[in-house]
Amino acid sequence: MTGLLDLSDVSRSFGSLKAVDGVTTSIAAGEIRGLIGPNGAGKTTVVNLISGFIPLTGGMIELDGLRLDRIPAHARVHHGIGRTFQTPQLCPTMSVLDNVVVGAHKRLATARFRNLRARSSLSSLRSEAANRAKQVGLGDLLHAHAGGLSYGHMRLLEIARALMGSPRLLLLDEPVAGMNEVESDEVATIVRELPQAGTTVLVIEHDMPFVMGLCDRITVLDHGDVIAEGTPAEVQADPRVEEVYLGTLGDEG
Amino acid sequence: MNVHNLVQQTVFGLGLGAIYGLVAIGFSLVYRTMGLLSFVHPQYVMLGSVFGFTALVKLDLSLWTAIVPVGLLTALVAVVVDQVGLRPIRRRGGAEISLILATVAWGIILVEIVRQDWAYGPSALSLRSAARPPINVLGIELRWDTLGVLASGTVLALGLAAFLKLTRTGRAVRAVGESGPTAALMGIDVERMLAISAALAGFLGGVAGLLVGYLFSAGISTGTIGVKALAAAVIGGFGNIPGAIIGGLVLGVFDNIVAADVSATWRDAIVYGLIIVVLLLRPGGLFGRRTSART
Amino acid sequence: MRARDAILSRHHRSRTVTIVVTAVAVAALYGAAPRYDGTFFLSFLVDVVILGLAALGLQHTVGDGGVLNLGQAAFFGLGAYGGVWTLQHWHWTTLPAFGAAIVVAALGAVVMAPLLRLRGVYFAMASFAFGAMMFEIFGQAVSLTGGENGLFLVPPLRVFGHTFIGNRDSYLVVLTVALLCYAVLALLMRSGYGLSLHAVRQSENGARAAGVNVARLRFFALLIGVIPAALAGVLYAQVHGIVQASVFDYNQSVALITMVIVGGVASRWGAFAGALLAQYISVYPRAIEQYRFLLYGVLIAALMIVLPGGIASVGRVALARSRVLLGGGRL
Repeated sequence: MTGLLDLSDVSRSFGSLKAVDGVTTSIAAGEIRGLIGPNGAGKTTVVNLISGFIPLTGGMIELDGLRLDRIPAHARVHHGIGRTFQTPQLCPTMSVLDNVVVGAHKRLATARFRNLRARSSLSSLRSEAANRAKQVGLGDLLHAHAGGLSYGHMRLLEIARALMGSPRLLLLDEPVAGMNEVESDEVATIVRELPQAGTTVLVIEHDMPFVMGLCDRITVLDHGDVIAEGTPAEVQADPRVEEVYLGTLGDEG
Repeated sequence: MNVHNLVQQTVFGLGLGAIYGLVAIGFSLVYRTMGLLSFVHPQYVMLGSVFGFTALVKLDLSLWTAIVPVGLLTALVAVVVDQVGLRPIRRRGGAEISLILATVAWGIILVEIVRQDWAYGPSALSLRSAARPPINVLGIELRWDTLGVLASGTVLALGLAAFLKLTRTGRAVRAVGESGPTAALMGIDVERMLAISAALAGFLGGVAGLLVGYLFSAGISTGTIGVKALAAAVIGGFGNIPGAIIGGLVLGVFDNIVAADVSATWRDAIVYGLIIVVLLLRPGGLFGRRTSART
Repeated sequence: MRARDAILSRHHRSRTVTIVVTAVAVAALYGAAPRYDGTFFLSFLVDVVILGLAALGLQHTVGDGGVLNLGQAAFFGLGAYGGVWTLQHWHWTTLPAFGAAIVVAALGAVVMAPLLRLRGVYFAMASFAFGAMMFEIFGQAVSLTGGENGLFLVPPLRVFGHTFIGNRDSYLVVLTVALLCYAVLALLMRSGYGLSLHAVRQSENGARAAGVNVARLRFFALLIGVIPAALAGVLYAQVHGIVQASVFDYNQSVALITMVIVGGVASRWGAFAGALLAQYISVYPRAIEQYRFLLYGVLIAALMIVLPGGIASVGRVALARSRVLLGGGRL
């Protein structure tokens, strides 16, 4: 199986704890994949491994046949990996617009030394960034400080920043946590449009209606291992999933 | 260099090393509890040396009786500096660099006070009237003062270790070192523990200064020994208290052997180079567990 | 759209104010040369500008780059010795000597680069040790540096065939170099590079997720910051005609970081304000001669408590206070 992203026997241990223990899966281009599992199942670790924020202790990760796991985090962005964080990682005293512009870092870096033209290319990046911000519904807040935004807006801003890098694969770590139903529907609408623009999505989320309604396929993780994978309907019908995970679903609604 | 010389230099080095160790403990303790690289700390050595001058020369006390008063007086200064100079910045949640610079400023203040003619003046002071003659053990010359310095250094270091391990207050200080917010949740008065660790660091620095004055000379330039002790703290693993003592002894011996045998002119450059090498290759110290100092 | 226009027009108005203020300040700075010609004050200003230039570079590294370099004096020294070598041995003039100084200091930055992997206080200690080590090398490598005695008879400033001797000429040259460095740094910080630096300082993870090569950016912040110090080294040597190792000891590194923080770590002109205060204290208060450094220590200690943003934040703080008092708008 060769998809856009292939994880083969991917492992990560912290000391004696195996946070991710031999995960193998393949995400096809244009797919919206959900990654679910109980707390501590290793979901965020998988995102950190794919984005290069922590190194693997075993296995390999390929993006379109390219060995990703030997490339440092910032360079993976240039190969088309974008991500958001569970706790938004923004520049609090910078404006929403500038936060989005930073997402175009690769183009910023080349703009850096074209001294005379730097300004014009910076301003073209700014107008592109303004469009990205509008795309996620932050069009009215371009000049607000990122640090003063609501939690939900911060998450949207992270998505806009990631989109500035025109990612081939976007990793979303709990994009609707703490949002109400209306807000999470808006996020679902935004995410649903991404594959047409060439962005494949891997999303971690605890909000089951959100995941089931949004994702094409879902991977279920428990104790660092894949225990089920399939369409939302298949996963919901899987007895192993019910055993380890869906038992808690009732509590969360 | 023959074996005899090597042993002789090692013995001399241990005396100086015990002093480095005492100062290094202070650096590490302050780093552990406050997360701070303190530039005022070397000046507690300087203060201890001039207080030692008062005790030994003006008041004619013996080295042993002078240790506690000199240490306490320096500890008092350290607490005042911490409460007046650093606490307001901590309370405001000020930046690390503001705290570091405040310690630089207090270092200047202490040196400038001591430099005044009505205080101790700018020149070096001698503490020793008459040293007792050296004894010979298997052809190795042992000086009483070196032995005394080594002994008092060891006793103080063990005393501190016992305090931190065995007493309630000591455990609270260590808890603050692990995590200030958690310690506060457990009902520990964090500010009080920080003051106590400042006092302990000041006490040890002051005693180290007394010993420096006793072995070499006292005065405003004694602080440079304190700066070199930073190397000892790094060798032992910055923040690691037992490591600081070992780091001090290693640095003392290394420094002496390099000076005597490799190059007296390059000894300081080599010591500073050693700091860099240790930080890069073994940031947890030469003997400590591996910790990450990387980004 | 209207809101955006309002923001733009406010932006333009503040830009006009900035341009006017800058023009007046630059004119006043150049005007000081004829006004104070022949006075001790002018030679004092020369030293302020040279030290301020070394501090300006450090402000970029520390304030903009978040890299706490406690060994800046090493680069001040590397620039001085590198430049003086070409002046004395190859009879170069000032501008080529600047080039040599930059190359030598940049090599120093490359040597220091592996230390950038260390975080926080570990880098601070390593850079401090680097500065202290370089000072020892300056002091001991007598054949290259003249050691403690120093190198004498450094030729005066010579640019485009014109020799600049005396305080008035020296002042014009050092001021021009300082203003050019200031302008270049200001432009850099408004470029994409500046934006990336801001991003890394505020959220390293966020910047990395946006594709910023944090390690390389930190190196640039160091490299760009040592260049003004290298130029300051050459200027120092040519203005004074002598360089001694003691100028570049670790106390100088601490003095330079003090200027940066006292002036305001986030402010470029603060570097010069910090240099002005430090140099003023060390030459002027004759009435309280033996207490002047004590006064300096007390000033810094108090400043860190009451005004952590440094001298440069005085205006902003005063403005904020007055607005609060008047009960008016927000900041």
